[in-house]
Amino acid sequence: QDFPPRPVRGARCVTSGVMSSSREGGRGLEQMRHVFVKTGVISQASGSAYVEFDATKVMCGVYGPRQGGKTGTATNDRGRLDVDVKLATFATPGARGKVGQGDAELEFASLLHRALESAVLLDTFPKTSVDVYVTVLEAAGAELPAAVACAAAALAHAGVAMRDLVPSLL
Amino acid sequence: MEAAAYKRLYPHEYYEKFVREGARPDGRPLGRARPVSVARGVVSTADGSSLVKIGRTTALAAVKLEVVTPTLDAPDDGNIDVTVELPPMCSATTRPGRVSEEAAYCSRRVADVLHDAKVVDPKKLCIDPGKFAWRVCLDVYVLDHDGCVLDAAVLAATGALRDCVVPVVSVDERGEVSVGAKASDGAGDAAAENEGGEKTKKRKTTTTMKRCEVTTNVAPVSLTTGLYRGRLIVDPNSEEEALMETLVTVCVDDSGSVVAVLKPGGDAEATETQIAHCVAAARARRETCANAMRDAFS
Repeated sequence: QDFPPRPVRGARCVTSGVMSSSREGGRGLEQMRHVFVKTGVISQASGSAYVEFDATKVMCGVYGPRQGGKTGTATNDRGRLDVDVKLATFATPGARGKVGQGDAELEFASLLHRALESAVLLDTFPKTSVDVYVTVLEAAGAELPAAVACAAAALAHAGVAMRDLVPSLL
Repeated sequence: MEAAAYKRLYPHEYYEKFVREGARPDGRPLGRARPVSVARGVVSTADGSSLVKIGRTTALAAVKLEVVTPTLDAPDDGNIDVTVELPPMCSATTRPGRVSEEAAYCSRRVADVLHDAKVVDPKKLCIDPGKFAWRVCLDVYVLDHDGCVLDAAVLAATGALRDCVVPVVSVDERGEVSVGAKASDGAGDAAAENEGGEKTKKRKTTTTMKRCEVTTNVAPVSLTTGLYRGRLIVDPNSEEEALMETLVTVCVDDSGSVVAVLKPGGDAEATETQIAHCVAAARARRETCANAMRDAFS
């Protein structure tokens, strides 16, 4: 199963769109999709957010700062940021995805971690870790930017000290 | 000592203070369950989906259909595959990695309830006996675990099945299945079968998308009650669930008949009267859930 999903029709659709300066759905080349962000959607989490980029739906829960997690990388002067991404089995069009975590999800988590760790002030929560758990509920393009926006909003809602919110664009 | 600190240090004493007066920290009386809301068609990539909220507990169920070969011992039956997942974001105790015991338990119980209440008729999922049948892959994701996930999962599963649109398939003479509104290759006769099992032989198949339902319109309702020092606490939230001695889950169908009674161990025994009270509470809950479903599907 492809994740991120490949376009159903080939490059012809994209090239023709570029030539005529409009895309499928009537959007201009530089026009973004409609964005919806809401925080405080998971009552159990320290911070949470739900983001929609038109049809792409991502939800994130942030727990922490708390103890536990992978040993070895906890240090006395810096905290740790753990990121986990899960793609729902029904999120991609076509056949049902696998239940476990594939390589694509692990790579996605690693990219998300890199996007967030430069913004989060890790020395404000030494010896503890902040866990960021992202679930992609529907993948209709631009899942990584949506996940970055969602994780940043959830971290802000949790009150984790950051340099700034992390924007992203595909 | 202020209330928040007292609650942290002495959770049982804190809770007892409320329960002794017949109420709970969130203001509900002991016998009242939380409000229910149901929404349908929330995920467009799935064939059917439903979002259920019981208080703050949130469950999202979605159905993906695929055409498979039926098993040898049941050539007329399709099958239904249920998985309940508790992703790590849903509660402070869930972690990424292995499937948790609670998730595995919920998967099996929801599958049993759907089977025993006859929510799906496997015979109606058959396309071509012995050759093709539908497999209904139902996945329930609990997005927020605030107690009683089994109740939310059962309701969400039923909602997603009811929202499911089964596309019409055509089986051509070469034995290949094509899904969706497509004209056949035009090679001679082709049999087009829809969900009801009607066979229409046409020279040239003109299939249309028909909104067929997977379910038999039965909607089982489940209610979990906690036992705490001899008292029955209906629909406990996650903080209360941690304090309960044991949990009793009762599942009833539309007519009020009991589909399942589950009491997995725990620190206390449940007497017959207590079980009878739990069954009565589940029967009373049926009305509320049926109304919520009706509002979503009207």
